[in-house]
Amino acid sequence: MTTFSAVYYDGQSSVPHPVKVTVYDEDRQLIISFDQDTVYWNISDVKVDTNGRVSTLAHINIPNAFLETTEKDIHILLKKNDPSGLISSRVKGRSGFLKVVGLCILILAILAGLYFYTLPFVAEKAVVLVPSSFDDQFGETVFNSLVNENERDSVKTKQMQAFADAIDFKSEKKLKVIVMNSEEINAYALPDGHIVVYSGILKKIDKPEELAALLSHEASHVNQRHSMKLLCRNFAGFFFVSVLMGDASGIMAVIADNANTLRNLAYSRDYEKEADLKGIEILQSNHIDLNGMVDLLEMLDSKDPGVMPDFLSTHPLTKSRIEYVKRESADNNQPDPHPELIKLFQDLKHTESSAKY
Amino acid sequence: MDNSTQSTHKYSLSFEGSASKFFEVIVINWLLTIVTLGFYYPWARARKFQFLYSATEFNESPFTFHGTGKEMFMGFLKAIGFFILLYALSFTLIYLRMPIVGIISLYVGILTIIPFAMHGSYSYRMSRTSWRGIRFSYRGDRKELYILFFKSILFTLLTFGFYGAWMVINLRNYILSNIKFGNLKFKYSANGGEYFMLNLKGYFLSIVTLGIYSFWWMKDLYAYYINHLTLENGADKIRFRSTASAGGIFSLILGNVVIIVFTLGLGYAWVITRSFTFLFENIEMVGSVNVDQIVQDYKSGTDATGEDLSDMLDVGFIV
Repeated sequence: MTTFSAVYYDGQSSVPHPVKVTVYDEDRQLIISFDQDTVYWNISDVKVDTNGRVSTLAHINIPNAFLETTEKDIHILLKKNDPSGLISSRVKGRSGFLKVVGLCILILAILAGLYFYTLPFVAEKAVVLVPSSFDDQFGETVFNSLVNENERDSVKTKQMQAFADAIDFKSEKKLKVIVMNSEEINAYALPDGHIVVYSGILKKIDKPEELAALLSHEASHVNQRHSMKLLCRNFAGFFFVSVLMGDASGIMAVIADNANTLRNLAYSRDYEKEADLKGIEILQSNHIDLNGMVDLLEMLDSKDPGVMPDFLSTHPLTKSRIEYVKRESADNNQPDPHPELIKLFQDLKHTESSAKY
Repeated sequence: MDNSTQSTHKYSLSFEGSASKFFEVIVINWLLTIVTLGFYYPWARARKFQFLYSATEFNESPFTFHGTGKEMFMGFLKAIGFFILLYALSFTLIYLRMPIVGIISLYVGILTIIPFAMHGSYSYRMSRTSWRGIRFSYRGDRKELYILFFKSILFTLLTFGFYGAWMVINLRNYILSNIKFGNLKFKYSANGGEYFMLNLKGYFLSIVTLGIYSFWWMKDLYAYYINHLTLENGADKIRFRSTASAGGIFSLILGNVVIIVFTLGLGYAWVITRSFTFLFENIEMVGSVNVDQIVQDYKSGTDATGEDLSDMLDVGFIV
């Protein structure tokens, strides 16, 4: 039997009636004593709410009548669930909040797992649903907006195409190699089969098998439809994040978007590795010296300023690339001499640049 | 109640909500909404309102929200049904090669529903709000609101938007002046011209000062909202006055942005509790109404359809 003081409101007016409330545990009853009068409430008919400072006790059958008290832990006194929390009411003691935090972390971890592993996997599988004609259209659009015709080296492009035609890239698409005049040491592939090689990287390459390795790497990007996969992952990632955030503010959208971009950097590193390994397979099936890939990467490494930390770079650090490429190309069984490639390569190297500036 | 006339009372409004408890409420709401593919949303809203109402105290007594998830779910279904019908109609018209008629009917449909949503939302929300057992109620007339709304929209269109300030104030004057709290009546009497000049001044000074003045503008808008409100019982009145300063608003917003950015959004609960605490502690009330003697004057509200429609249309509860 416990007693606490409260204020009673009758639901007819806001006049406060100070009362004494006695809790009878045996009968599960509340006895509300006014100056003159006494009222009995069954505890099972009482709904408790609290904001931490004030608690209210409402009778479910008496509209608008209720008790208000600053007595602490009323729900414990009445042996009811803590109304202020769905979860902490079900876990006992003071550790409730910690358990809620733990549950949140668990659920966040599950969501993160979905986001980082399941979602990209599913999105990548969904690429088969995208018709390959879309790759062509998309590639062509990007090509037209990226490539400045004035910088194209038409003579070297022709020679480069001849070199590429001598290798079987196991590609469903016809690969169209283009040489561009630019000091940049770079090359990239577009989903429609365009491979753009900058003259800067061409100058650094001095063996035909290195060039073959470069083209195999880029051809693998096309064969594996990496651009489309990245697009699908991006889209699915963005969709997932916006569903989770619901009516999030603009700030949240910006954060979410940046998080997505950061993660995609890591994704594209996976793709680079895949292109390296598939590139080695292409070299192997063409009986080209696999050291071409190792030499190519070592050449890039010597040019790499090496200031970009691993997690920010789109390409895996060249050092680690060289390691796994060396491992993969260990069984470099009997490369053929390939006189035709040597010839085509020498033509390419000894031609003067023909671009109009 | 005659004894209360002449004497001056002080009143207090405060927000007692604990951010960590509110965090618990919204995290659970969020999880259940995701797990149930959104169907929990009405219950989540009810839970959120219950928390926020009970955390708000007037003269040290909390408010109570009596709405339930079930009510809001029924309203939610009706509101969704309405949108499906509206879109079906408009797409049928477009399919029948009447694209202009189709698009116009979509816009007209949405425009027509706004006053309905506002009326329903206030009617529902007020009838589900109580303080010391005394219910609030909205006594506005739907037809009058429609006439006011369409008259205002028409003028706003004809004046290329300039009448917008008058439109906001007209709606506010009408809606807030039709809210009752037991036998007490709210009264809101503001002037569209003043509101227009306030916004004009705020707009240009904010541009000239590269945004710095915007905090004074916000301060003025809040004060304009609060200072024109009274709660009346015959000759007795409670006057409301804003004590918010531009500096206070600046630190509130700066703090909120910092919290959201550095917690990646998880600090949303803290942002809300900080904001409510700031807004309520900056409302000063003085008057002669004895709030210990308010008499129940109940009018049952509508169902929750309007409430859910206004949530979907993002009309906002406060005009």
